[in-house]
Amino acid sequence: MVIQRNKDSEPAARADALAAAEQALRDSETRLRLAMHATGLGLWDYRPGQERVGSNEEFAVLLGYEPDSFEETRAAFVERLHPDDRAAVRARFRDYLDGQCADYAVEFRMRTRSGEYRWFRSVGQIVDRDPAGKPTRVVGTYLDITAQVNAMRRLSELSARLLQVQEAERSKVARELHDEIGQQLTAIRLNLHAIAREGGLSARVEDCLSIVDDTLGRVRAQVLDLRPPMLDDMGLGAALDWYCRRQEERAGVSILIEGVEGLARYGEEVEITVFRLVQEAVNNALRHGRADEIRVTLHDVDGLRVVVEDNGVGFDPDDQVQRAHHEGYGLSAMRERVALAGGRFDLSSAPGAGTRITVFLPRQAGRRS
Amino acid sequence: MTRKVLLADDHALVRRGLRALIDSYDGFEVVGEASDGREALALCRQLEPDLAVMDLSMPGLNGLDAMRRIVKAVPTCNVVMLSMHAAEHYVIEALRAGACAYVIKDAAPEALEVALVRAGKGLRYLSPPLPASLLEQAARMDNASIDPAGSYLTSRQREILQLIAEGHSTREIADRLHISIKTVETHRAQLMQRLGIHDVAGLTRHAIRCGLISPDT
Repeated sequence: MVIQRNKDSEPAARADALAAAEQALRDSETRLRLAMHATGLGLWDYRPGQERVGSNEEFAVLLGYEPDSFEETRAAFVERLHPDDRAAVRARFRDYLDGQCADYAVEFRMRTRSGEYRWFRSVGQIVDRDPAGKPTRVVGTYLDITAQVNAMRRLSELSARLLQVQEAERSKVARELHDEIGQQLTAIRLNLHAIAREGGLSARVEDCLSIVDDTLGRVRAQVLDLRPPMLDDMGLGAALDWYCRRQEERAGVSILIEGVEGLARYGEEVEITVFRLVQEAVNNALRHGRADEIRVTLHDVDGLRVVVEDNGVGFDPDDQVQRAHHEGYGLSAMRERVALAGGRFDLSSAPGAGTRITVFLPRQAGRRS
Repeated sequence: MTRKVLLADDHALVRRGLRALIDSYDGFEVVGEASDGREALALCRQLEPDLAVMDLSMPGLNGLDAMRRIVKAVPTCNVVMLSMHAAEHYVIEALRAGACAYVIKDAAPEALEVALVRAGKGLRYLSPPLPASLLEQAARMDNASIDPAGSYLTSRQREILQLIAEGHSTREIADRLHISIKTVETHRAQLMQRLGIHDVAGLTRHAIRCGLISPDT
């Protein structure tokens, strides 16, 4: 029986057990330190009400200080935060202590010793409370995520750039098809008609004419799919009006569009972005949402506000898999593109309640600082 | 009497084809060729043709803008607009800019001949499959004192408003426009709400007011 033997154990045995326990504690601390070192995790240990904040060596290293001479304080932490992040981080921490939110996990910029700001992710947890339930100790970690943040930003820029390149390519191919191939075919067609008028309509000429007509039809359809000339000729309002009617006839659903008549002209970047966005949203509503009624609303409010809503099956936007399925690549890339144009993108949906996409674009597309 | 025709298209091969075709028609002679809008305007001033056959989209000065200036500078010249676009936005824009006829490039070659004959007499013409109602619509949009609300309807709403005002049933409208009955009903509800008019008689009056139908139909 373990308990009995402990009770009656000799002093020497007790010393052994103590030594073993101390060794185990040292091992565990070493393991923790190694783990923190290996993962580059800074540790913070905060007791509400006290100015001094506990920290490990990694923390000092992350910020570019000598571990031996580094001492963390509450005031130093607040002062080190990027001015744009300060209010949000403090509010989030307060909310966590007050029990307003279930966890504390935030990403923000901190100034390092050299004066450079780097991105950190901080995760913390309340580990002690007083008898009244007030938190008395919160322990957490810092991770430098600057590389990830930069990579994500680069990724966003790349996917937006991809769309721009695709758009330019499409535009080029559409122009080539329309201006060159389409015109050549038209010329052949006119000549064939002239031949027919001179020498009578032979079966061979008739065949040629029907082949040319068919090919011309295909070329025109391709041009429309690639980049409707109407967008450049007549503007966004006319192009969307035309597109919605065409889809309505093709898909047999109702597409209501408001605000296109008398719509002002916008910069090319804004017009093509909105056109593609509506195209993408309508396609998604038809393909994934199985909607039979879609509403597209445009509203000029010192910029362009576009809403596309459908009465389809909807989905849970918090479910990554569902979202990826419903949004598809096009729409998620569109998010980036709207952001790059300095606009805002918002999607709301719920199972059984359709999907609603709201986008606001400034009059002239441009990156917001 | 042979009518003088000026030909304007930015594509030389298309111009040659058109020329061969027009020369094969009785009573028409191509007197000049232009490869862009600016040249077309200059040649019209110089040659004073009876007719100008122009492509709608040309580099430099586009067909629409060139036409606006031609009908002003040479009022005796009637313009036949050639275009690959069948969408009504283009047709109405061209008619309002002064086109006498509008011919879709893919239409049968007889359409161009009909267009030339009619435009030669100063008569308007749209090639198939364009509905003749667009002619009236464009004309009335210019003349009628347009109710501002009317101009804020989409093309689909205007189309449905016109058909309702002409006395067609929902089913007839759906069949004619190749859309579902439910879609017609949804559009009708939306346009009634937009106009704040909730009966057919009111819609008909509104359609007359904004020039979609004429009072005597």
